[in-house]
This record gives sequence, C-alpha cells and structure tokens, in this order.
Amino acid sequence: MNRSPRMALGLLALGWAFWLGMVIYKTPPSDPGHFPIASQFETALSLNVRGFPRSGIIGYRDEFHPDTPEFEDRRNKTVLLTQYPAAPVILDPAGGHELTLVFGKDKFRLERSRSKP
Amino acid sequence: MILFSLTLPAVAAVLLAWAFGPPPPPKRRLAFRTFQACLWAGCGLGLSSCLFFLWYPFVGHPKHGYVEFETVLGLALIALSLLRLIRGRPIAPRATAEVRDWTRWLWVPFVLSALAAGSYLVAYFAREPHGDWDAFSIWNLRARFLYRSGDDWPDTFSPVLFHTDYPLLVSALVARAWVYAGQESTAGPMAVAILFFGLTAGTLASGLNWLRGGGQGWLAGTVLLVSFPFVHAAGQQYADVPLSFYMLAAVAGLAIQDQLPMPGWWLPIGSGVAAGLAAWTKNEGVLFVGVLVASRLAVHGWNRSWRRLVQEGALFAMGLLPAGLALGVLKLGFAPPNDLLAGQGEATLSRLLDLTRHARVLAAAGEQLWEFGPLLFVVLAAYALLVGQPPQGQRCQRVGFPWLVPSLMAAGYYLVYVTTPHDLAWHLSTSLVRLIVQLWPLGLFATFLTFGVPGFSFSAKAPAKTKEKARAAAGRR
Repeated sequence: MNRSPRMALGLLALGWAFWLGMVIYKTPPSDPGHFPIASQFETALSLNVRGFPRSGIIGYRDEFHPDTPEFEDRRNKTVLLTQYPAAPVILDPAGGHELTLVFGKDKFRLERSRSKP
Repeated sequence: MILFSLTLPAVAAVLLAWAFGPPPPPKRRLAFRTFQACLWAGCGLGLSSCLFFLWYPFVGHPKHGYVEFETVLGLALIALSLLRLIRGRPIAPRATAEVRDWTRWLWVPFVLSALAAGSYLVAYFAREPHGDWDAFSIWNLRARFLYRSGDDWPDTFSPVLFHTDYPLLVSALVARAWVYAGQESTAGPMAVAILFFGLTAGTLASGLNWLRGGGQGWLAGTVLLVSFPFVHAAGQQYADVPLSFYMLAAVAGLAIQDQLPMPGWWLPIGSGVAAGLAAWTKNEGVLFVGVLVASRLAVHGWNRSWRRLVQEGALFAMGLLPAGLALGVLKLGFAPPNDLLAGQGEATLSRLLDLTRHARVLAAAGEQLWEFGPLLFVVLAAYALLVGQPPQGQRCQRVGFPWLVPSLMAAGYYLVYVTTPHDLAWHLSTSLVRLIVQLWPLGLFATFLTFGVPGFSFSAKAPAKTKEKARAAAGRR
C-alpha cells in the first residue's frame, strides 16, 4: 500500500500544529498599562493643535534630539509621529514659516516668527 | 455605519454577479459561488474606493452628498439583483453529485486557524489601534488628510509628506468609512484590514476547492491562516494584504476561466477589475498588471489560442478601466514622481552590473524566506514531494500560468532592489518581508494547484464492504 499520502498529510498536520502554536504564542498579551506610541504623540500634541491653522504648512523643529547623524533616524521617526496627529496641517522640517511647531524637551510648543517669510 | 459602509458595495457587487453573471457550472457549485462572492466583494470595495477618490476632483469634498448618492446607488443595485434572482434568473444545470469522503472535514482546521488568526488580530489591534509605522506615517495619515481637509484636500499629495505618490485604495476606503460614520475611528482601518485578510483566505480556499476539489483549498487556506508574517501584516494595517488579495483574485479568476468548459464573460472582467485595483492599492500593482498581461500573452501564444486572447483581452481591459481612471487622475494630476523611478539615470547601469548588489539581494531574500517561517518551506516542499502530482485524469492541465505570475513578479522585485537609488541594506530590511507577504497567497495557490490531494481511505476495510454490498445486491436480483 502506498503510504506517501498518509505521510504527507501527517507532515502537514504536524506543521499546522506548530504554526498554529506560533500564532497563538505570538499573540500579544493584554496589557492595560500599554500606551501606543501614536496615541502618546496624539495626547502630547492635543493642546498645541488648537493653535494650528485649519490647513496648510507650518514649520517643524526638533530640539530634543541632537542634530547628529546617529540621531537622524530618531529625528525622522519623530517628525512622522508628530505629523499623524497634526493632519491636515503639514509639518515642514525645512523651516522658514511664520508658525513653527517645536519638539522641545518633554513637550511641544508653538513659535511665531516676528517677520513673515 | 463603518460596517454598513464596507458591506454595502461588497454585497451589491456580489448580488450583481450572482444575478447577472452566467449560472455556476454543475460541479462543486458551492465552491464556485463562494469564489464569486469573494472576488466580487473585494471588487465592490475597491470600486467604491475609486468612486470616493474621483468625487474629490470632479464634485468636491465627499462630506456633502457622497453618502446619499452611494447609498441610493448601492440599494438600487441590490434591489435590482434580488428582483432578478427571484424572478428572471436562468435555470442553472443540475449540480453533479459530490464524492463525500473524509476530505470534506478539512474545513475544521481551516476554521480553527481562522479563529487563532482572528484572536491574534483582535489582540494586536487592542495593543496598536493605529497600526504599525507605515500605517500611521502613510496609509492612515492620508486617510486623515482626505477626511479632515476641506477644500484643501490636494494637500494630501504634498511632496513634503512621506510617499504621497502611493495609490490610495486603502486610505480612501478608510476615509470613506469615516465619512459614512461622521467621525474618525480606529475601527475603520481595523475593519478594512480584517475584511481583506478574510477575503484572501476565502478566495484561496474556494478557488482551489473548485479547481482541484478534495479539500485542497481548505489545506492551502489553512496554511495561509497560520503563516505568521501574513497574519502579522494584516494587523499592521498596511496595504500589502489587500494587494495580495487582488493579485490572487485576478490570477485565480483567469485560472478558473481556463478550466471552464464554456468560458464566460464575467471572469475576465472580474480579473481585470481585480488587477486594476491591485494597481490602485500599491505601485507594485502596476508591475503586476504588466506581468499578468505578459503571462496571458505567453499562455495564449503557447496554445495558439489567438481568438480567445482577443476576446479575453477586450473583457480584461474593460475591467481595468475604473481603477485605471482613478490611478490616471492621481498620477497625472496630483502625485509627485515616484522616488524609485526618479532616482534612476546614468547610475542604473552601474548598479545593474555591480555583482555584489546581486549577491546581497539574493542573500537577503534567502534570509527572509527562512525567517518567514523556518519550517514552512521545508514542510511544504516535503509535502509536495510525498504527495506528488495527481493522477492523469484529475490533473489540472494549466498550471504554467499560476506559476508564471509570481515568478515574474519576484524577478521584477529583484530588479527593483538591484537598481534601487536608496541605500540597499535599508531598502531590503524595511520592505523585503512585505513583498514576500504580497506573493505568499499566489505561491500557495500555484503550489496546491500543482500537487495532488492526499486522497486515500481511512478505513482499510472499505473496499471489502463495498464488494459485500455489491454481492448482496446481486443475490437479491
């Protein structure tokens, strides 16, 4: 009797049990203390958003991370995280805008330049 | 309202296909109907995303009038389809009797796997409601721009933002759900992610169940549902799972078309719609449309079926139109140039001739394939070797096409990596696993279509019993 199909199915069944276990094992546990990073930025920016225009572009400056190549990745990630709650206002790290959102130590603040660009 | 916004176009498209499409073939009718439902539900969702986007340049912000228009249209189409189904539907040929052996129970591990994957997604969404990095820096961010901005909606495509040249299917679907609900909610992107995840598994299982029978679809679907990187990608709320769905639906539709005794018109149209929507989901989808067209040319050229190629091509092109229109308006009217294309020039040839880049891409691909599921490929390869090809009579005649598409796609991705203007290591580490996720359902479809069904009887005495019954029947006569 050809046993290959039985062996094949047995092998697949073993693999299935393993992969199913992996999905169950990797399921994130419930953690009431976990605060997603996107929500953290949303909360941190909630007060400043009131001072934003309805739309358009404002400046963005990161004073928290040092302006060095090793912090470049963090600076890039921070502007992406800040842009998410700031929408539909566009944050422009290139600067030269009347209104600038500054990511300072611990919190955000809005700066208005005296002379219009 | 979020659920209503997503079910309305899906249900309308499925009922339209059931009511006005040709009747299902006599064999494996349930699998055929399920495949139709999955294909057209995804197409309905995608087409509503196209309509939503086109509303902006041609009418204005969809907060005014869009919901009313689409609801009336959707309900009218549903009513029309129901009327046709109740009254005027042509009578389908009698269904052939199914062989009912133990393989019919293979839906049980499929359902168990779906439950495990579902619980993973729920737990992941509870932990990361906004999704992963690309979700809140690209897809959901653009949904926010589309929803929140008034007359300044073209800001969505500002080059200051990250990757604003990307197509809009996912973002537009999420923003559309918010417009229906009248408020933003993380339930929108979650529902979109779960829907496409389920539709991919459903399309794979039903497509193969119709093509091969013997529970082959349940097996392939089960493997997909426990492929951890695929499940995780759905949780991340990226566009890779929706893209994988449209690619699979287009290929499976044409593969089924090749096996039908009487080729109909709705499958090439459905495949065209799905292929167009793949291009409307991610830029990789544009490559997919080219690959699919080239593959069909090769298949029909090989078989010298030119007349069929012309008929199929015309229907396929009709299906491409709606998403092609939306993509054309986006790319020609609003989107900045693509970074990968803009970065090509004189350096491209030197990158192409740099053998170290080829070696790095191949090494990274091998590494990622192993990490994708260390035992996954080993077990599947061993399974395929053990089970072998099906007997001649049950063999699926045209497996070249389903293999050709993922192979050419993989070759295309390979070339993109070799010629990338970005840092190669960064580009590989941030995207390669997602590209494998995109091709994974297609790979499973081709694998389980080619190899046999583990067909055997669990009961060793079954043949003897059958013989006794036959003798008894002969005795009675």
